[in-house]
Amino acid sequence: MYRRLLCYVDAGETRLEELEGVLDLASQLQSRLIVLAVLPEESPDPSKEKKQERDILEDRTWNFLYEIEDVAFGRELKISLMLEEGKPEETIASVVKSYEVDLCATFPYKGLDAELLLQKLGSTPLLFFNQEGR
Amino acid sequence: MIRISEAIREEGIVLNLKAQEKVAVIKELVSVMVDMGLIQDEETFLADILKRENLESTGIGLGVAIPHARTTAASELLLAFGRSANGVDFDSLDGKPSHLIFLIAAPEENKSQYIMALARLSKILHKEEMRTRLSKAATPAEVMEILKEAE
Repeated sequence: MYRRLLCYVDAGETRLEELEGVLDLASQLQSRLIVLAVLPEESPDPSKEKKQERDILEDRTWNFLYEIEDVAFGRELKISLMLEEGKPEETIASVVKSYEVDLCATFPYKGLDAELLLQKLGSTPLLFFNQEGR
Repeated sequence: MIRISEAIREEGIVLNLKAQEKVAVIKELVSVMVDMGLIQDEETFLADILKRENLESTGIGLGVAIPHARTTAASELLLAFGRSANGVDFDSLDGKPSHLIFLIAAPEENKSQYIMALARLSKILHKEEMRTRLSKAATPAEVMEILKEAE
Protein backbone atom coordinates (compact mmCIF):
# COMPACT_ATOMS: atom_id res chain seq x y z
CA MET A 1 0.00 0.00 0.00
CA TYR A 2 2.83 2.38 0.85
CA ARG A 3 5.35 1.54 -1.82
CA ARG A 4 7.35 4.73 -1.42
CA LEU A 5 7.96 6.49 1.87
CA LEU A 6 9.64 9.88 1.73
CA CYS A 7 11.50 11.16 4.76
CA TYR A 8 12.58 14.79 4.77
CA VAL A 9 15.62 15.42 6.94
CA ASP A 10 17.52 18.49 8.02
CA ALA A 11 21.12 17.42 8.58
CA GLY A 12 21.68 20.28 11.02
CA GLU A 13 18.77 19.35 13.27
CA THR A 14 18.59 15.55 13.16
CA ARG A 15 20.69 12.90 14.83
CA LEU A 16 20.97 9.49 13.20
CA GLU A 17 19.33 7.80 16.21
CA GLU A 18 16.20 9.90 15.73
CA LEU A 19 15.59 8.16 12.43
CA GLU A 20 15.07 4.75 14.02
CA GLY A 21 11.29 5.15 13.95
CA VAL A 22 11.27 6.04 10.27
CA LEU A 23 13.55 3.10 9.42
CA ASP A 24 11.31 0.77 11.46
CA LEU A 25 8.29 2.07 9.61
CA ALA A 26 9.87 1.59 6.19
CA SER A 27 10.86 -1.91 7.23
CA GLN A 28 7.37 -2.80 8.49
CA LEU A 29 5.69 -1.39 5.40
CA GLN A 30 8.36 -2.88 3.11
CA SER A 31 8.52 0.52 1.44
CA ARG A 32 11.29 2.01 -0.60
CA LEU A 33 12.61 4.81 1.60
CA ILE A 34 13.50 8.05 -0.14
CA VAL A 35 15.54 10.29 2.14
CA LEU A 36 15.40 13.88 1.02
CA ALA A 37 17.44 16.84 2.21
CA VAL A 38 16.85 20.34 0.88
CA LEU A 39 19.42 23.11 0.85
CA PRO A 40 18.52 26.77 0.40
CA GLU A 41 19.12 28.09 -3.08
CA GLU A 42 22.63 29.38 -3.56
CA SER A 43 22.94 33.10 -4.10
CA PRO A 44 24.10 33.89 -7.65
CA ASP A 45 27.23 35.74 -6.59
CA PRO A 46 28.28 34.46 -3.16
CA SER A 47 31.15 35.92 -1.16
CA LYS A 48 34.13 33.71 -0.33
CA GLU A 49 32.79 33.19 3.21
CA LYS A 50 29.31 32.28 1.95
CA LYS A 51 30.82 29.87 -0.54
CA GLN A 52 32.80 28.18 2.23
CA GLU A 53 29.70 27.98 4.43
CA ARG A 54 27.81 26.43 1.56
CA ASP A 55 30.57 23.90 0.94
CA ILE A 56 30.52 22.83 4.57
CA LEU A 57 26.72 22.56 4.55
CA GLU A 58 26.75 20.43 1.39
CA ASP A 59 29.51 18.18 2.78
CA ARG A 60 27.66 17.74 6.08
CA THR A 61 24.37 16.98 4.35
CA TRP A 62 25.79 14.39 1.94
CA ASN A 63 27.68 12.80 4.84
CA PHE A 64 24.48 12.57 6.84
CA LEU A 65 22.57 11.07 3.90
CA TYR A 66 25.20 8.37 3.40
CA GLU A 67 25.27 7.67 7.16
CA ILE A 68 21.54 6.98 6.89
CA GLU A 69 22.10 4.83 3.80
CA ASP A 70 24.70 2.75 5.61
CA VAL A 71 22.34 2.07 8.52
CA ALA A 72 19.48 1.29 6.12
CA PHE A 73 21.70 -1.13 4.19
CA GLY A 74 22.51 -2.95 7.43
CA ARG A 75 18.77 -3.39 7.91
CA GLU A 76 18.28 -4.52 4.32
CA LEU A 77 16.03 -1.58 3.51
CA LYS A 78 15.51 -0.27 0.00
CA ILE A 79 16.71 3.31 0.05
CA SER A 80 17.37 6.22 -2.30
CA LEU A 81 19.03 9.50 -1.39
CA MET A 82 18.14 12.92 -2.74
CA LEU A 83 19.61 16.35 -2.22
CA GLU A 84 17.69 19.24 -3.72
CA GLU A 85 17.72 23.00 -3.54
CA GLY A 86 14.81 25.29 -2.80
CA LYS A 87 12.15 25.82 -0.15
CA PRO A 88 11.54 22.62 1.82
CA GLU A 89 7.73 22.60 1.61
CA GLU A 90 7.65 23.13 -2.16
CA THR A 91 10.50 20.72 -2.80
CA ILE A 92 8.99 17.95 -0.67
CA ALA A 93 5.64 18.34 -2.45
CA SER A 94 7.33 18.32 -5.84
CA VAL A 95 9.30 15.13 -5.04
CA VAL A 96 6.14 13.48 -3.65
CA LYS A 97 4.36 14.21 -6.91
CA SER A 98 7.21 13.40 -9.29
CA TYR A 99 8.16 10.11 -7.66
CA GLU A 100 4.68 8.89 -6.73
CA VAL A 101 5.36 8.89 -2.99
CA ASP A 102 2.58 7.30 -0.92
CA LEU A 103 3.55 8.46 2.54
CA CYS A 104 5.61 11.32 3.88
CA ALA A 105 7.48 11.56 7.20
CA THR A 106 9.50 14.26 8.85
CA PHE A 107 10.34 15.99 12.13
CA PRO A 108 9.19 19.30 13.60
CA TYR A 109 12.07 21.34 12.22
CA LYS A 110 12.38 25.03 12.91
CA GLY A 111 12.65 25.85 9.21
CA LEU A 112 9.63 23.80 8.16
CA ASP A 113 6.13 25.25 7.97
CA ALA A 114 3.99 22.21 8.82
CA GLU A 115 0.70 23.81 7.81
CA LEU A 116 2.05 24.90 4.47
CA LEU A 117 3.52 21.45 3.89
CA LEU A 118 0.18 19.77 4.65
CA GLN A 119 -1.53 22.10 2.18
CA LYS A 120 1.04 21.38 -0.52
CA LEU A 121 0.91 17.63 0.03
CA GLY A 122 -2.82 17.46 -0.59
CA SER A 123 -4.03 13.91 -0.03
CA THR A 124 -0.60 12.38 0.70
CA PRO A 125 -0.46 11.46 4.39
CA LEU A 126 2.20 13.13 6.53
CA LEU A 127 3.69 11.69 9.72
CA PHE A 128 5.56 13.84 12.21
CA PHE A 129 8.11 12.04 14.34
CA ASN A 130 9.32 13.53 17.63
CA GLN A 131 12.95 13.81 18.70
CA GLU A 132 12.77 10.32 20.25
CA GLY A 133 11.98 8.99 16.79
CA ARG A 134 8.38 8.07 17.68
CA MET B 1 40.72 14.76 4.39
CA ILE B 2 39.75 12.29 1.66
CA ARG B 3 40.61 13.31 -1.88
CA ILE B 4 38.78 11.58 -4.69
CA SER B 5 41.54 12.50 -7.11
CA GLU B 6 44.05 10.62 -4.95
CA ALA B 7 41.96 7.46 -4.80
CA ILE B 8 41.63 7.10 -8.57
CA ARG B 9 44.32 6.48 -11.19
CA GLU B 10 44.30 7.02 -14.92
CA GLU B 11 44.28 3.25 -15.51
CA GLY B 12 41.05 3.10 -13.52
CA ILE B 13 39.23 5.36 -15.97
CA VAL B 14 37.30 3.83 -18.89
CA LEU B 15 35.96 6.49 -21.22
CA ASN B 16 33.98 4.10 -23.41
CA LEU B 17 32.43 1.30 -21.43
CA LYS B 18 31.76 -1.75 -23.56
CA ALA B 19 29.06 -3.18 -21.32
CA GLN B 20 25.54 -1.81 -21.65
CA GLU B 21 23.73 -3.36 -18.72
CA LYS B 22 24.15 -2.64 -14.99
CA VAL B 23 25.73 -5.88 -13.77
CA ALA B 24 27.96 -6.12 -16.85
CA VAL B 25 29.13 -2.52 -16.32
CA ILE B 26 29.94 -3.23 -12.68
CA LYS B 27 31.87 -6.35 -13.73
CA GLU B 28 33.80 -4.33 -16.31
CA LEU B 29 34.84 -1.76 -13.70
CA VAL B 30 35.65 -4.44 -11.13
CA SER B 31 37.89 -6.11 -13.75
CA VAL B 32 39.71 -2.82 -14.22
CA MET B 33 40.50 -2.70 -10.50
CA VAL B 34 41.57 -6.35 -10.53
CA ASP B 35 43.82 -5.80 -13.56
CA MET B 36 45.46 -2.91 -11.73
CA GLY B 37 46.24 -5.27 -8.88
CA LEU B 38 44.08 -3.30 -6.45
CA ILE B 39 41.59 -6.06 -5.65
CA GLN B 40 42.79 -9.53 -4.74
CA ASP B 41 39.47 -11.27 -4.25
CA GLU B 42 37.32 -10.39 -7.26
CA GLU B 43 34.49 -12.74 -6.33
CA THR B 44 34.02 -11.29 -2.84
CA PHE B 45 34.19 -7.73 -4.11
CA LEU B 46 31.65 -8.36 -6.86
CA ALA B 47 29.32 -10.10 -4.41
CA ASP B 48 29.55 -7.16 -1.97
CA ILE B 49 28.83 -4.62 -4.70
CA LEU B 50 25.92 -6.61 -6.12
CA LYS B 51 24.40 -7.22 -2.68
CA ARG B 52 23.94 -3.49 -2.25
CA GLU B 53 22.91 -3.05 -5.85
CA ASN B 54 20.15 -5.62 -5.43
CA LEU B 55 18.79 -3.78 -2.43
CA GLU B 56 18.99 -0.17 -3.43
CA SER B 57 19.48 2.12 -6.33
CA THR B 58 22.98 3.57 -6.53
CA GLY B 59 21.83 5.61 -9.49
CA ILE B 60 21.62 9.02 -7.85
CA GLY B 61 19.87 10.58 -10.82
CA LEU B 62 21.18 13.29 -13.16
CA GLY B 63 22.82 10.56 -15.26
CA VAL B 64 25.10 9.44 -12.45
CA ALA B 65 25.52 6.13 -10.61
CA ILE B 66 27.87 5.34 -7.73
CA PRO B 67 27.90 1.60 -7.05
CA HIS B 68 29.79 1.11 -3.79
CA ALA B 69 30.65 -1.28 -1.01
CA ARG B 70 32.71 -1.70 2.09
CA THR B 71 34.48 -4.95 1.52
CA THR B 72 37.20 -7.21 2.86
CA ALA B 73 38.50 -7.34 -0.71
CA ALA B 74 39.83 -3.76 -0.49
CA SER B 75 42.73 -2.69 1.69
CA GLU B 76 42.38 1.00 0.89
CA LEU B 77 39.88 3.41 -0.63
CA LEU B 78 39.63 2.66 -4.37
CA LEU B 79 37.78 4.26 -7.25
CA ALA B 80 37.18 3.45 -10.87
CA PHE B 81 35.27 5.57 -13.36
CA GLY B 82 33.41 4.46 -16.45
CA ARG B 83 31.54 6.50 -19.03
CA SER B 84 28.75 5.13 -21.16
CA ALA B 85 27.60 6.98 -24.26
CA ASN B 86 24.26 5.17 -24.42
CA GLY B 87 23.68 5.19 -20.69
CA VAL B 88 22.93 2.30 -18.37
CA ASP B 89 19.79 1.62 -16.37
CA PHE B 90 20.78 1.83 -12.69
CA ASP B 91 17.17 2.02 -11.52
CA SER B 92 17.55 5.72 -10.71
CA LEU B 93 14.56 7.40 -9.13
CA ASP B 94 14.39 9.89 -11.98
CA GLY B 95 14.24 7.00 -14.45
CA LYS B 96 17.14 8.37 -16.48
CA PRO B 97 20.03 6.18 -17.64
CA SER B 98 23.41 6.67 -16.00
CA HIS B 99 26.25 7.88 -18.21
CA LEU B 100 28.84 8.60 -15.52
CA ILE B 101 29.54 5.62 -13.28
CA PHE B 102 31.94 5.68 -10.35
CA LEU B 103 32.72 2.42 -8.56
CA ILE B 104 33.89 2.82 -4.96
CA ALA B 105 35.47 0.21 -2.73
CA ALA B 106 36.59 0.79 0.82
CA PRO B 107 37.94 -1.45 3.56
CA GLU B 108 35.23 -3.00 5.72
CA GLU B 109 36.50 -1.32 8.89
CA ASN B 110 36.89 2.18 7.49
CA LYS B 111 33.35 3.46 7.57
CA SER B 112 34.08 7.16 8.03
CA GLN B 113 36.49 7.31 5.09
CA TYR B 114 33.97 5.47 2.95
CA ILE B 115 31.11 7.81 3.84
CA MET B 116 33.27 10.88 3.30
CA ALA B 117 34.32 9.63 -0.14
CA LEU B 118 30.72 8.97 -1.16
CA ALA B 119 29.64 12.36 0.14
CA ARG B 120 32.48 14.19 -1.56
CA LEU B 121 31.91 12.48 -4.90
CA SER B 122 28.15 13.08 -4.74
CA LYS B 123 28.77 16.73 -4.02
CA ILE B 124 31.07 17.04 -7.04
CA LEU B 125 28.69 15.19 -9.36
CA HIS B 126 25.69 17.20 -8.20
CA LYS B 127 27.15 20.19 -10.03
CA GLU B 128 26.01 20.34 -13.63
CA GLU B 129 29.26 21.93 -14.75
CA MET B 130 31.26 18.97 -13.40
CA ARG B 131 29.00 16.42 -15.07
CA THR B 132 29.29 18.24 -18.39
CA ARG B 133 33.07 18.42 -18.15
CA LEU B 134 33.37 14.75 -17.23
CA SER B 135 31.07 13.85 -20.12
CA LYS B 136 33.29 15.72 -22.55
CA ALA B 137 36.72 14.79 -21.20
CA ALA B 138 38.84 13.37 -24.01
CA THR B 139 41.42 11.50 -21.94
CA PRO B 140 41.75 9.87 -18.52
CA ALA B 141 44.31 12.55 -17.66
CA GLU B 142 41.67 15.20 -18.32
CA VAL B 143 39.23 13.39 -16.02
CA MET B 144 41.90 13.41 -13.29
CA GLU B 145 42.44 17.11 -13.82
CA ILE B 146 38.71 17.85 -13.55
CA LEU B 147 38.45 15.90 -10.30
CA LYS B 148 41.50 17.66 -8.86
CA GLU B 149 40.07 21.05 -9.75
CA ALA B 150 36.71 20.15 -8.23
CA GLU B 151 38.40 19.44 -4.91
